[in-house]
Amino acid sequence: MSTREPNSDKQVYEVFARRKYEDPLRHVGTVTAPDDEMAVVYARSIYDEWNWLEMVVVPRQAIVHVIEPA
Amino acid sequence: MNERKRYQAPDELDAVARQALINLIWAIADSKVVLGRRYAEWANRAPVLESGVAAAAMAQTELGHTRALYMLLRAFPEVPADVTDEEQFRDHYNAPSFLDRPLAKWTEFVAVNLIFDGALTEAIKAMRGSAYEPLAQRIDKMLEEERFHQMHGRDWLRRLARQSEAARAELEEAVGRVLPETLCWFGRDDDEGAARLVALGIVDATPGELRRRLRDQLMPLFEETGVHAPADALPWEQFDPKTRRVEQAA
Repeated sequence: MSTREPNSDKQVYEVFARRKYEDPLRHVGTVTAPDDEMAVVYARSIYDEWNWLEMVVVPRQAIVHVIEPA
Repeated sequence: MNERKRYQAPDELDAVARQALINLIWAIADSKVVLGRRYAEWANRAPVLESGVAAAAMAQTELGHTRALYMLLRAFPEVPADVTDEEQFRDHYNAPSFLDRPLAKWTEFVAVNLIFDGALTEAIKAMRGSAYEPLAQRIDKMLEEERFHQMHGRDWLRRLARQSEAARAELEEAVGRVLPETLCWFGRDDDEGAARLVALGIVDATPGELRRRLRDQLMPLFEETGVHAPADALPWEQFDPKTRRVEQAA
């Protein structure tokens, strides 16, 4: 029995993190996930190269461009 | 916890508490070794690539916890050296029988992730602020890491249950295999050693209370998803309190 996910179910999330209080939140990569909770789990699993102080995930569609590249 | 005596080392514990604490830590450590292995086996087979990475990360977390727990056990000279020797593969682990073989299907992975990993986490939560200092120091970090395991299990249960009737039925079957032995794993209601650990403030819940806490976590989720838990009595006749295993009929 296949438990493969249909592709229409997925959103791209941008991942931001910082290591110290004085650092700005920096873009570290993306994850693709069906919902916010899984985006959290996947980001935590994949971007584990540092002991992060803070990490956030943001759905790409929530991002509002101020300046967009041509 | 409150103004109780705090214990720094094994020789400060009475014989009953000491044996019970060894049994408990040994069961958690061995279970995490085997659980980590079963998680790792799905690292490149999960239905979604990212879940494979999550499975590998969860395996690594479990193995990290076992290192800390075996270190605690080494302080007890009566624990055989081969148990805490992490280089050695043993024939027998004090881990549940449903982990004896690789997890055959993703639905089984999800059931184990949600139910048994959840049970281990409840056991560890009950040690927050433990009167046994070496244990208390390690708990918060373990719980922080386990949070993600719970999220993974819960989310996948919901999605698989929604996906199709076949998936829901398969999940229900897996729950039926994993939940009864998991509930027994906490120990019998009348376990003297467990009662002693509660009396000393080393653990804040009896086996019966831990069963209640796990059920409180799981039942609303089962209701919500239509994945039903078996209603039968627990298999106490086949339960061995030393290994915490329910030996399956041959």
